[in-house]
Amino acid sequence: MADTVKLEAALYEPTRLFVNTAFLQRLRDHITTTGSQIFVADTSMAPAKDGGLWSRPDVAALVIARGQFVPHWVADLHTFEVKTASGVNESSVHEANSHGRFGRFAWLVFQATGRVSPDTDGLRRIAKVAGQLGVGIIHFDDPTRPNDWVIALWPRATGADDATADSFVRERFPNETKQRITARLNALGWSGALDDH
Amino acid sequence: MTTKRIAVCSLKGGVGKSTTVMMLADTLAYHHGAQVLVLDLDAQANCGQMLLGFEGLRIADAGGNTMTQWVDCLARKVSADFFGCITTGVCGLLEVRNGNRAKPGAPLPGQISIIASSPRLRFSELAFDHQAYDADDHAAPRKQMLKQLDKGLRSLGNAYDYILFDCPPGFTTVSQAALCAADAIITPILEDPVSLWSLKTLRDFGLKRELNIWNADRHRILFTRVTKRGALDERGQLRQDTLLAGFQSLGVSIADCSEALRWTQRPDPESHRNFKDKYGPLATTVEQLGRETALFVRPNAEEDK
Repeated sequence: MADTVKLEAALYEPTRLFVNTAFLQRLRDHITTTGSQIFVADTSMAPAKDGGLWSRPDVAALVIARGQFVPHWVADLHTFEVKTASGVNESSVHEANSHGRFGRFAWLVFQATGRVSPDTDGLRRIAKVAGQLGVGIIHFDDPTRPNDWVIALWPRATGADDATADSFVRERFPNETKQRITARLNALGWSGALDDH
Repeated sequence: MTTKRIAVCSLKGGVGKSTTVMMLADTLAYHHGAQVLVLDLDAQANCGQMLLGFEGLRIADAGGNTMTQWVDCLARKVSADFFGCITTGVCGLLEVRNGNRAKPGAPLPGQISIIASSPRLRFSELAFDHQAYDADDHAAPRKQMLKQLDKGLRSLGNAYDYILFDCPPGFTTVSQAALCAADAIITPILEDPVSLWSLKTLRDFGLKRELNIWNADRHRILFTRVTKRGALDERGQLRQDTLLAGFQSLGVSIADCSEALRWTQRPDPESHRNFKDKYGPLATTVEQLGRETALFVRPNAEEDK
């Protein structure tokens, strides 16, 4: 049993590591993509230009991938709301859900220890609300072991449009990450993408 | 399991460093259920081509998933996530993709990830060396690189059971840092005098004098491209000379194999072959290489698990 992490910000880097590695692998297996690449950003400190209490996800990831048999390239924005074991509850699901206005898939990520350990009512209540809202659930015991993190529930696609996701990336992703996305898109033949940034 | 870092290095080129790394990565992922990260530190980008295929390498390079990108960021003093350069799920074995155990009771297969390289790595390293240059301390670039590499490796937490460094021929700054950061070193050599000279140079000038990290117990020799044709006495003598010079070798040797080209070609990033088909007559040898290496770096493996 790993130590319970008290500070939410201490979970951002482990979450980015998970999303960069094990998450992408499982996403590939789940939706059978080819040539997929992921660009992950810590968006917790990015400016909240639209105001509001729950205005920004903690981590966001742009996945560029192509289907195996329906071979269109797609770029999906995933948003991740990160919570500590003591900070997560049903309300956190609504918070994660609110980020669905930016991207196609909204996730709630938390350390599942104590009252929200696997097989507790606390976790079941969260999962129930998440199932109703279509929010994905990822939980873990040891934040440093991304291969052991559990994707308990896959999210449903939100109705967020591409232009909103594009604005989100433009305004909240670091320049370094945007340059890498640009390079990738250029290699796919979409030259000029994000060049003005 | 705690992460073990293994550097595969030799000053001499053409001894099979990248091939050894690929074989190790495959067998550790398949037979030992390990999560393996390959760091390709060689601007030739051979490991990337072996694991990703040319197209996969092009994609990784375009998206900045390379050591080149990471070193470039260091040279420009721009922050970059080390793990942001990783390409995941690159094992080309069918069994690993399908989650098939090597045998009943064996662990479920792990996976291979890679931070690939590209020819531009040479220039990124030059830029890094330039900005880290200190006229009074010729080791300054290596010290800075080691600090950054160590920080990057620590950011991976316990995500990987094995991290394999595919070092380039020679003694580049990144390669020196990797050797310092490694728990163990494996040096592939051919059964020829030049390989032995190069091996002694690596130890005496590189690991002893320059880096001050020589420890015979954490270093193993792997004889590669071993053949039974011609000069058998000389080859046998060379093996003896190697041991007399104070080196320890793995029990397994990699035979010269005309089918090696098959292993090293991955036609596209989505192509998969089963282990026995990929390695043909050397399948047992590759499995043995994994077993010996695992035992070498984890002598108390059972307790470790």
